[in-house]
Amino acid sequence: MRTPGLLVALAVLAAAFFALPLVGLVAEAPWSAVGGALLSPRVTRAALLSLGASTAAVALGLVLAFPLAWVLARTRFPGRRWVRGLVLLPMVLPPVVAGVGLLTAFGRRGLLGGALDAAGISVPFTTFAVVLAATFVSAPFLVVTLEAGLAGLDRGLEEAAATLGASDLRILATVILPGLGPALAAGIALAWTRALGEFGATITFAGNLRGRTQTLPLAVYELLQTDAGAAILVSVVLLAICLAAVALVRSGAFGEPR
Amino acid sequence: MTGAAAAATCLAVFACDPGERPRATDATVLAAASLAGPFEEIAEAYERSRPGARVALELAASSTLAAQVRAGARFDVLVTADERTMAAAWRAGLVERPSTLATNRLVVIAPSDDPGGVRGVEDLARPGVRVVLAQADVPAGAYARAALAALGIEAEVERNVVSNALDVRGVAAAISLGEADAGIVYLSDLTPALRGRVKVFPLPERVSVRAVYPIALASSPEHPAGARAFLDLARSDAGRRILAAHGFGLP
Repeated sequence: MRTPGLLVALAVLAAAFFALPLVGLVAEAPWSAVGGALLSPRVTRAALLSLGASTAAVALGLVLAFPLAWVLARTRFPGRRWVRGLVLLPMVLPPVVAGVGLLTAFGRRGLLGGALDAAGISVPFTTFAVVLAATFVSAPFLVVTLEAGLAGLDRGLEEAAATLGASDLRILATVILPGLGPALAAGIALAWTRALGEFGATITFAGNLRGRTQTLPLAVYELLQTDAGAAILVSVVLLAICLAAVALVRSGAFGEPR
Repeated sequence: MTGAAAAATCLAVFACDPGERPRATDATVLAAASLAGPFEEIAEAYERSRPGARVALELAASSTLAAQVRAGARFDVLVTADERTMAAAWRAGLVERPSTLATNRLVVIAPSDDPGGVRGVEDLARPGVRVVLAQADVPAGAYARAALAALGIEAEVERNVVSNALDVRGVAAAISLGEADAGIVYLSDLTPALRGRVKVFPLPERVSVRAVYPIALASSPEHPAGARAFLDLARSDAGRRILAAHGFGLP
């Protein structure tokens, strides 16, 4: 079927719908105040915390996601579909629900609260809580991309390496991980940006304290009430970071874009 | 992809919810978060008295509401938890002349099992007590800090703060869940549900800060008739009875 003109017109409208809020941010930003706004202690502390917590969340996410993705991609067991659904749930769950869930699991009165308390550990309102909240919402992106990557690998190469006497560890390091490179990089970019943007689970589970749990999105929300210009400038920075991540994933730098 | 399929199912479930027949909004009311209890009742009373009418009630920190109004949000009635935020909106020509609707007082709350051993506001300054306050830019946070400053313990308490909640309801939530040891909220925040989960300590009389709630019509209301009718109801004897029942003081 040919592409009707009406469809093209609607597609242009749709593209404008996604573009306008981004254009608005850039157009409304008070660029003359950019230095003062972005270098204020509140923003720099939030930025450092956000970058560190997102990176830690991806690292922790990889530890959780790799074994899960492997088992999902390469084994058959009853309830496998349910496990996959469970892992995907955080992607569609309202983040505030994720935050309440984390409290009911790791909070002082949560399921593990007594045990954690006995060990002298209190998770809510700490930077670790920020990392946990970000991991919960972002690791599913790693599971999805790694599972697809593992399923797409040529098992023949692994068998050939095994026939030639390579150990499992050597096969993992020289055959599997290099083959997973593009999927791994795309997953890391998606998970890292999702972690960076996390708000609802963070405010619920980790609270809002400058230098300890106040991430960039929380700083934007707070700034919006007193200094909208600064809030817009920080939003533009977050937008630029996310744009770079999407461009990286789509550029084919990690292999063919899906 | 399975994630997209799950999202689609989720959307379909909500779209399939038959729901109520949509009614036209008759008044858009922006009210300070601490007014949630009485204003939900006043909105119900309004809807009962005007069949088919519907109140769109938004409850958030006064500073959040003011930011929305400055950004051009359409509304009919604005109620803030302090005079400063309202005065700024009035000076900017966004609302008509405000008048005082109600007043409120501050109290200290702690979880009923009292993990921090809190006996009064002075204990908020004791090292190791985990305190949650509303953030300093919202009225509840500003009032709380003014009271702590009057007691001379603001710096000590600030060091104990583990989270600055985005509005006063966030403080109540953290304490009722037992995740923090103490917080400062309005007397009116003590709903029956919350009272069952927390211990309450009044502030000493000499520092008891009185919160003032001004109410005003929008300069260019979205629904002029509905706006006036809602404001009149809130200020009527019926409205005052509801406010008083929720622990608010009356001017």
